[in-house]
Amino acid sequence: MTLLKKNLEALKKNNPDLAKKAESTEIPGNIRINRSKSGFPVLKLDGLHLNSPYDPIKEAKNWISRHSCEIEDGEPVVLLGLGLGYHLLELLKHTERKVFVVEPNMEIFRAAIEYVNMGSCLSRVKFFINKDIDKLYEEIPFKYLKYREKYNINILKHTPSLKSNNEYFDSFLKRFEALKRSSNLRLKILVISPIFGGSYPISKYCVSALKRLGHNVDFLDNSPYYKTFKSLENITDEKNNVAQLRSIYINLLSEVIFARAIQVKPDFIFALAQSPLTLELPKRLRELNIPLAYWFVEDFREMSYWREIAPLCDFFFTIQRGEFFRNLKEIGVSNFYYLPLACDPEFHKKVFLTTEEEKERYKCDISFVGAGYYNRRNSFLRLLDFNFKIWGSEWDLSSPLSKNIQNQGRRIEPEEYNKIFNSSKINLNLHSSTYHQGVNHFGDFVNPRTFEIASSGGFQLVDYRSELHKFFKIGEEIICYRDADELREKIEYYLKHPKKREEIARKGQQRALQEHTYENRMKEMIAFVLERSSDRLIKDNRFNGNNLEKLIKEAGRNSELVNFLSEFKDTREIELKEIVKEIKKGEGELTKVENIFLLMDSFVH
Amino acid sequence: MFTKFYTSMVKSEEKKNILIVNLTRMGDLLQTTPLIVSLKEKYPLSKITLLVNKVFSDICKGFPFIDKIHILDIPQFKKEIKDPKTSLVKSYRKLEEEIEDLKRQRFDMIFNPALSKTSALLTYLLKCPQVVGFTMDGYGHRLIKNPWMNYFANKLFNREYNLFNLVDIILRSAGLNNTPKRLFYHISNKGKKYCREFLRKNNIKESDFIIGLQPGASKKIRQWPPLYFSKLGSILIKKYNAKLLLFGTPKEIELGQEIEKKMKKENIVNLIGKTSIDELAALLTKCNYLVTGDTGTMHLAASVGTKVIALFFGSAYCFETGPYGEGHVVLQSNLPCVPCYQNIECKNPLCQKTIRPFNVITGIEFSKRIRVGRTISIDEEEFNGKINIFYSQFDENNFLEFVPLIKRRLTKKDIYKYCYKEIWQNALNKELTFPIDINKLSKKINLYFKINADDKDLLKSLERDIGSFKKLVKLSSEGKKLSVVLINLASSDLKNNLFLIKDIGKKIERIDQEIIDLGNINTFIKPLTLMFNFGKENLTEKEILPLSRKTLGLYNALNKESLLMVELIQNIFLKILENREKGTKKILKKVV
Repeated sequence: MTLLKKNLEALKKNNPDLAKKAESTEIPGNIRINRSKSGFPVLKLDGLHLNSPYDPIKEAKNWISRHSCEIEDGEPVVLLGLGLGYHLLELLKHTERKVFVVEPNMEIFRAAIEYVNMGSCLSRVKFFINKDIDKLYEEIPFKYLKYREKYNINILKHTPSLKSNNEYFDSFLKRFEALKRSSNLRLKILVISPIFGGSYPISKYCVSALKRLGHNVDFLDNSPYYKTFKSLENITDEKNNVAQLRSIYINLLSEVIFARAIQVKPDFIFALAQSPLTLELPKRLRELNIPLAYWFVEDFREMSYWREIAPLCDFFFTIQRGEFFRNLKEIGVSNFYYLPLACDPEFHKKVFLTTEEEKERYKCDISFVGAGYYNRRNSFLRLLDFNFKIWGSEWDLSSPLSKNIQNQGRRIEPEEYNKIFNSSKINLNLHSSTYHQGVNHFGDFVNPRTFEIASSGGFQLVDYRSELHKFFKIGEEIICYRDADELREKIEYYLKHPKKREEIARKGQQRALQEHTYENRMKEMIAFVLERSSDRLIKDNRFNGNNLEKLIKEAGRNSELVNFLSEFKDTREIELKEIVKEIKKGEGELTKVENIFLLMDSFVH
Repeated sequence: MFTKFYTSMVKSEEKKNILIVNLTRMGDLLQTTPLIVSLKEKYPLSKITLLVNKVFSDICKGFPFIDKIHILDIPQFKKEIKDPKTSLVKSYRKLEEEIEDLKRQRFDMIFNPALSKTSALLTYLLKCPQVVGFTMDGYGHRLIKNPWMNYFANKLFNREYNLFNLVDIILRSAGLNNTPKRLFYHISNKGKKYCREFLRKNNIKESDFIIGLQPGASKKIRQWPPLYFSKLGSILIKKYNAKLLLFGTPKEIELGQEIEKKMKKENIVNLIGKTSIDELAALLTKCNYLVTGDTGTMHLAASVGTKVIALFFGSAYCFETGPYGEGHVVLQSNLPCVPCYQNIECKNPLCQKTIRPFNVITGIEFSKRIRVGRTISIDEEEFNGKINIFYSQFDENNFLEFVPLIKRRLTKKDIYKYCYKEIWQNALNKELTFPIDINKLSKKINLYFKINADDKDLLKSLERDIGSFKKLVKLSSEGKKLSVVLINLASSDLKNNLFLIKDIGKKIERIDQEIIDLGNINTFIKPLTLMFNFGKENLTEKEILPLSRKTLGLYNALNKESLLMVELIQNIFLKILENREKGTKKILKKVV
């Protein structure tokens, strides 16, 4: 049996997809395998030796003796660059742990498994070959950087590989550094909300999350302007004139954003979809040297205004990728990043209803929370025979569903969601569509409701989406359906199996709380901003002086002060105004420490 | 350096270590100098430390009897605290060390006459056994130690009924019932030398008629229009061949240029932004008069013995902060909206233009004559009812008073002002009490105001107001009764009477609320109700019995004060009319 077959057999056991790809890959002409002076195969790529032409084994041994001290206990080991694998084999002798290898070149991998005996090491190694950086960071262990606090990875570099693929590894390391750095930085961020709509509560969750991460957040809440905005449609019946009035109003609100930006001088602005930004505003912000990050939490196929806004933003975040990314590239946008929606555990949580009135109000077998989009109005007619309650606005009160629609179809506040999610046996989730009868079989992004129900500990049935399996294990942490028939089947099944519902809901909640919170998303968002920014944001650590850990350390033996500062355990960075706010909230006699902080505050105000 | 100012001061052998906290501006610091001198007179063996803000520390070098100036660099603190690169712990430690440094000096007594949170917090943190003025309690609430300081806080809300100058309030709060009758600043030899050279260089003789002009003010509302200064300057030059010196800070350079532009350049020397405080003080001594708004320069002039013609309008009120000393002339705008609140932004400051240049000339003329023992009659028409003109002197109880040079029609506000002055002197002074001589009071009012015997409106109004004062008497009597019951219950069986005690507590709360409401509805009563409320806010007793006793004390005081007001009002108008028949006397004492 050739080395290749032997290696492929071993690889198939752990990674059959990779084995298949490697098998079908041919070694191209720019890769030459020669013999070293010591008789071992060495790889030359475009004329550059990736291994020592004299003694690749000795070279690998020397390499590991230089770098073995960098391997810290408990942290995963990642090798950047494979070469022909000599370094990998030496590395495996020095650690018991699983090793991860990142190699962008499939041909090199093919060469490695063809010419070098990998043997049993293949079971201990997870290979990421030719993996897109974004997708790479969705894999373990890299994805843990996004949401595990103080998580670190031992990075060992195969320098010749890095030189041969500079761009790829540069991107990888920039992302890595940015993710690590984003935990320690405290930035000043101006968050802009929309005037109304589904993305409005998302903007508030983002603000809370950013604050919990320790950033200094200024929130420009545009919701007070909704009433006036809405009233414009009553001024005239002429639609063009209404549009004109709205445009003028949006211009004004854009000036409000500009004025606030001058006042606040943020490190960057974070705007949500439907924020009242004119197309002129990003340019003016650039003149102020304030980067604009925009989170487009819309279906790009439904809302096309991304074509105008995306090229103007410094960072563009999306809830879809694939085709959307291709489209963005086509219009010259490069700083885009896939950032899915999430939940806010402080808001979306389990609640227990105490009054009989509330229990009566919310209790049901199946609930649905959301607006009466076309596909929902159709699909739900199939469920009329169930104990089914519908909450939300824009439903047709004259339809047969009218008896299921609660509160005369008035819009409900997010505060009520948790009560509904925890009172129904099954929470129905159907992604909206204005043109599908029911389920959109090509639907990709996952709506916020999916995460919110999971976070609150409710059991849900959600229509299948192509990205869904990235967030939850289907069948274990969440249950899907692909059409109305399957939906009915699963409703009947799960109504009869409460324990299974509980188990799945519990696991789904665990997953949501661990990985899919707005805190994690905001951390990622900031990491991307840092990654793609000039060094200013990284170097100019203006708030580092008030990192809480540092302050406590600096307080040293002053136990009064240490004890006081330690009370701010949920904060990473702290400012005087937050300290004063907490002091004023307190009760009882003020301590000396508190009085001195109040005195400091009196100097400033 | 400074001669004795008190002919009879009971000196104490105590060696007191005294701290005076004054983080405010030049004018406020100068107004503290009588306190410093008086304390030193009373406690000759004492050590006096002055705690000041670095920005205003220069002036302190000319203060008498200061053993130590402790400078707090507040701007630097502010800068470091605001700088995100500076660690909070570093700023904290620095401030802590500053406080510990002060504490190590073990002060026996702290005077804090400023109503600022910063000074109150600092005073509290220094943990001194005796505090006079503003401090905090352990819960971060303002605490006012001393009845006169309580009054000071009160006066901010009842300015129209106050006749006490800030300096006198500060002195009385220290238990000093006498006054040196001036402010103090000692000019250095360097300053004097500068002044001599300046006069020589500018060809100004000591015999010249030299007028200092201070056009700038801390707030724009208190600034007399530059055009008026120009016109005044022109008149002064034409009428007196005066030599004019323009004073001010670097921020006022443009203002000075604007004034100069509209005048002939000869006879004017623009010194705006060109002098230190010491040099300014030296130059002021050479001025015959300083024409100014309510400014630090005004107080500096008063400190070095220069007569002032002061222009008061906007939020400035001469009774509170007028030039401290005898022989100053004040022109006070008399519009209904004066004085306005300190922090408002007036969109139509008409008061600025009520005082016109020729009014100032009248003031100068009056002052010139009175200094040589003569008087002039002042044309009422000239002052058109929108301005009052006053002359400063000290009354029989050593309070600074501003005597009106034009008799205006008596209003009930005027009556209340003078009645309250009498009442507070009694109520706030524990050591001395002055029996209220209604006869004397009515004579004074007769002297100062025009009284119309047929003023039925005034009479009716007074009668109505008496009704409100009587309501206050009733409420305070009820409060007294309840307090007595509370004391009895708390003294006998606290445990078993708890329910009753709570019930009475609620009744007392209701009465207190009615008292506050009465004051809000009837502003002429507010000085009494607010003092009562401040007294309540400053109760620190936690146990029911001592708390009830103190509460009784407060109701007692309120009851006495309101009864006194009823008596005064009921009798004063009649007395005024009676005395009117007996004719008027000379308004002013002769001033040498």
